[in-house]
Amino acid sequence: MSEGPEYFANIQEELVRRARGDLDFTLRLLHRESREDAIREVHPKLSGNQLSELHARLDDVANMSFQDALERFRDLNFGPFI
Amino acid sequence: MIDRREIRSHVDGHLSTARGNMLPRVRTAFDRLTRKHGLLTTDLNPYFPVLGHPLFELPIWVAERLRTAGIHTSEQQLADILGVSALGYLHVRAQDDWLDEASRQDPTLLGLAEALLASCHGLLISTVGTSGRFWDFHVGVINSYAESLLHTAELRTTGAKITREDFEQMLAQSRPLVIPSAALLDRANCWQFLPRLEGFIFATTAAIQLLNDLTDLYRDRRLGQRTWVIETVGESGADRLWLDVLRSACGGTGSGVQEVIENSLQFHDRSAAIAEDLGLTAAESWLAERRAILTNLFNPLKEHLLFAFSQRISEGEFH
Repeated sequence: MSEGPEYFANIQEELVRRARGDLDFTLRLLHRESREDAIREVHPKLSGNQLSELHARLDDVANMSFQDALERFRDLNFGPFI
Repeated sequence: MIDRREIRSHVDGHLSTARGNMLPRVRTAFDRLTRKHGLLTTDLNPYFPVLGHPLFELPIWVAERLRTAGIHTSEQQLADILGVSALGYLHVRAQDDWLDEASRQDPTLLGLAEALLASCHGLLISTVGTSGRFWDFHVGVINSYAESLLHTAELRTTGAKITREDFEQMLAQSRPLVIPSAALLDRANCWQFLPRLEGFIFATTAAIQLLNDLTDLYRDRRLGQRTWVIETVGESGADRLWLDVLRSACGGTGSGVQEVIENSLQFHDRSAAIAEDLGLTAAESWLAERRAILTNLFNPLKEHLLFAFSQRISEGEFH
């Protein structure tokens, strides 16, 4: 049970719950250096595999977020004349 | 100096006149194009984007420079030149949109480009008349624009890497931006300013095109379109750019994104030096604002990244 997909989904849900309304926690999830500590605050007993999996998924979310960030920067600054 | 509301009023006046001369099909396409570019609206912002081309500012700066040399440009002449800027720019955009569109069988945008060019020429004649000097220059500019357009299309089909040299050649597509100001210089008999003015436009455009290509990086990669920015950032690190931005915002160095921004800053500084040499004092605050944005770019990018990340996480978007 502690390695199954359902358990993993629960971990993610708890991280999401914690992140909502806690920008500092979200920022720690974004930064690689602070991410592991932030995750362990919510789930102290994660295995190495589970941690790696969470890292990979959060990296994907960060990568997609960066694409959003570039679009937002473009919309705010360039306007039509480029 | 003429203010932004007056500029918009002159631009809109000429766009409305051009629209009035169009027949129904072309007019419908014109309405679509102006809507897309935010023109003929009450909102001033689309006319003066922070990092866009100084489409309507540049002729004003040039007229101001001429004024300091004792040469007066009447409001009517300035209004006509602003009309040239708007119509000439939309002419290029119409062609560009046609090239970008999947269905090139539809000639609507080409028809619109023809109509816009005719209106633009009508206004130019009111300023420069039959000046051989101006019209010879105009022919040269439009030809190098056309050549650059074809060169770019060719590069895209070969899939070859885009070098700095290619990037600079592609920028010939922005040469028509000089036409309105060249008309003012011709009328004032100050043609000697022209090469430096072209240098200024080249450098400002290069600086901003690099940032624009950076913001389009993922889209361009998806569409298989290559840019100098893609080469600079590198293929392998593309999904790690967010890490580069976070590190750079904290003072880190050596990332591909940083290299793009440094290249952009170099072009910007070149444009500022040319403006100073030309005595384009009216451009100083615009240039300073631009430099401030370029030197501080990682902070807003980091803020937008955190905002988007927070949103995606809050929505439970783990994959």
